[in-house]
Amino acid sequence: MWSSSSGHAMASADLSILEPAVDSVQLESLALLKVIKHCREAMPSMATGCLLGLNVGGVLEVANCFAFKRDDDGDSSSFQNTMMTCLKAVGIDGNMAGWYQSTPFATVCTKDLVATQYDFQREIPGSVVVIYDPTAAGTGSLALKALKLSDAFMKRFSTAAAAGSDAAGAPLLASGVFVEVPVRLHQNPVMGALLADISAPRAASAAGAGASAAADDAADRAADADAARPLAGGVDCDLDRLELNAQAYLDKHLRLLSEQVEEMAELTVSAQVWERKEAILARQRSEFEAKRRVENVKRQEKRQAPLPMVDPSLECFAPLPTIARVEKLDALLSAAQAGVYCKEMGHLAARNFGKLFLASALQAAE
Amino acid sequence: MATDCIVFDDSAPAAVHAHPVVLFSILDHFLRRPAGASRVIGLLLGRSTSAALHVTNCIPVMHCVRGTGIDLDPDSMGKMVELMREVDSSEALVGWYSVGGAPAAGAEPAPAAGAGGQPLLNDVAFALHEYFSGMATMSDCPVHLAMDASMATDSLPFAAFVNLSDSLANGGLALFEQVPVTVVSSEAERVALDALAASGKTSKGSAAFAALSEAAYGQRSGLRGVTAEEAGSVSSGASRGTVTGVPRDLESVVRGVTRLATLLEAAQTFVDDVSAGKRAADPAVGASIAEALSAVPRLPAETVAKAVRGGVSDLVMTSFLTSLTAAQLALSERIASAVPLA
Repeated sequence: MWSSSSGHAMASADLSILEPAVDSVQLESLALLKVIKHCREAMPSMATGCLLGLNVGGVLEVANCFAFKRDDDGDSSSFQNTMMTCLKAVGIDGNMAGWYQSTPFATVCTKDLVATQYDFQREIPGSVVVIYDPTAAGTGSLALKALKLSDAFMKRFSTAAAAGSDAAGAPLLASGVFVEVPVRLHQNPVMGALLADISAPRAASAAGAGASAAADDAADRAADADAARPLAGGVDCDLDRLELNAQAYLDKHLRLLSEQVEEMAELTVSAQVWERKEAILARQRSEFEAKRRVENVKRQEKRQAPLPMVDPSLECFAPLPTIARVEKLDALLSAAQAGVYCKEMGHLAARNFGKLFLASALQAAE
Repeated sequence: MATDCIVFDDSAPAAVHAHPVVLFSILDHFLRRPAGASRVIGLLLGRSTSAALHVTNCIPVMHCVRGTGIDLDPDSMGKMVELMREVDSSEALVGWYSVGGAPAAGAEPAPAAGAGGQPLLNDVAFALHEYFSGMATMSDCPVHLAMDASMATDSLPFAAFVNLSDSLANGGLALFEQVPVTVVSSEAERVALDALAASGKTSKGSAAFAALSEAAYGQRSGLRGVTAEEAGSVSSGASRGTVTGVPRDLESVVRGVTRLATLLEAAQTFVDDVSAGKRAADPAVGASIAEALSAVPRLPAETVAKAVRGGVSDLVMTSFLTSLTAAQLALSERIASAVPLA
């Protein structure tokens, strides 16, 4: 197994230019568990880390990952390089395939996240960001998503960065900032055996020891705020998903959405102010030009040199202060985030409608 | 004798709580072992609480057995420990692990008889334990987690040991004591493991294990009472591993309800059987059923209907609000793209 995976690594290094675009992400069970462990332990602060894997025919196979340092004090690239060298020495080889971040409540359209992903995608075109929401585990759902920036977005902002402006190209819609890449979970058969083994109920074989162990566990749980539960009872959380009370989540989502809308409204207002100011200045400019044109015609009749059409000393020819100008990226991301919240709310509502109607039907049947 | 001093030795952990990520990591390390190696080792990291030692992380270590000696690379090991501390300083070195059981190249496969395929402890373990105990940053009483991945039986046995020998009293003799290991997981990990387990539900019991050991080692060592075709059908799927999507919202509700229905049905069948005299009554099961029933509040239909109505209207309102916002967003986006800003 080891030799075949290193063979893959070599093949893909040779053909890295010909790699097809990533159309799905296949997350190995170990990588998934490591991401979850890191994101959960880092709560409430944000956790980020690096995904290691390979692009095999358009499927990004993420085999492993490692955590980034919590306080990033500048030398993160040397940390990453040392880590990757150390991991390679023990047989964990793989290219950098992207990164992961814990993002509570699907707050993905932040400038930081977009900027980091932009850098990643420029360096490694097939890289993705895997976002995981540790807060969703309470309702028994695995909130895992892989995202990449759309080609249109990449093109737009690479030309914008080169030209120093962001006003070029076709209009970019807020819904087209990110492309979601479907995530699939992959489990090695031996890992599956391990999982089956550790989650198998042991009570039958050690019925006597079970009671004392349970007592120990209870004591431990009380002492330990970590709320870790023994796994021997099974990993089943089907029933957790039937929780009817979604009030807290709805509340949080609504609050986030209204904050986002407020932010958008502020951006719109400042955009309008800027636009109005710009319109006034444009009128002043055209008035000035009209006056100059008449003046120049007169001067030509008198055989004098024409005056320039632009007078930099006037206020209307000075560039507007950048602060007054709304960054297009800000507006775009703000709209995109509001869109994401709306979608999330839709999912949440759909799930809870189902459960509520089920509950009422059950009640009626009784 | 020696056991008397063990009881009062409070530095030794009473129990080990292993987190699933550690077990997955060490097994992954084993699967990626260099060609010809039959054992992998590494360091364990974790936190110590009053009740148990939580093993939460691990660091693979490269080693090489040469004759009677073992080659290790302390430099890269130290570097890795340092890197891990930079990520999370709350995790300390608490012990080491070894995973063994792959038949050595050319050797006969281990006989499937006996409780485990191979003994979990051997001479190398004693030497390595001595070495790791001597590390500067290692805890006072390191734990040795040993796993047998030979799959000679229908399980992957693992156990934790501590060395309780008092080197002065015993003249350097090592005395390994087994410490109970419990696999514990957080809610978030359980959710993930559940998603993974759902993918593997098609393979069954010992047939799966036999096929797995075959897939892993290319030999038919632990095939016991399994027909060849049955094993073959599992192995053809198993050798590639299983792939599943992330469970979707409504699907998971459907699954939950189906599961609830199965459980209720099982309970009902049991009760019916007992009352019909077909099965002996079990007081423990009866108590559990009574407990479960008493957990269900007896609410008047009116109250339930009201609660459901309230929930539904909350949801309708939020759906309305979000749809309105989404529509506004789409509109403003279209307008903005049609009439670009000056």
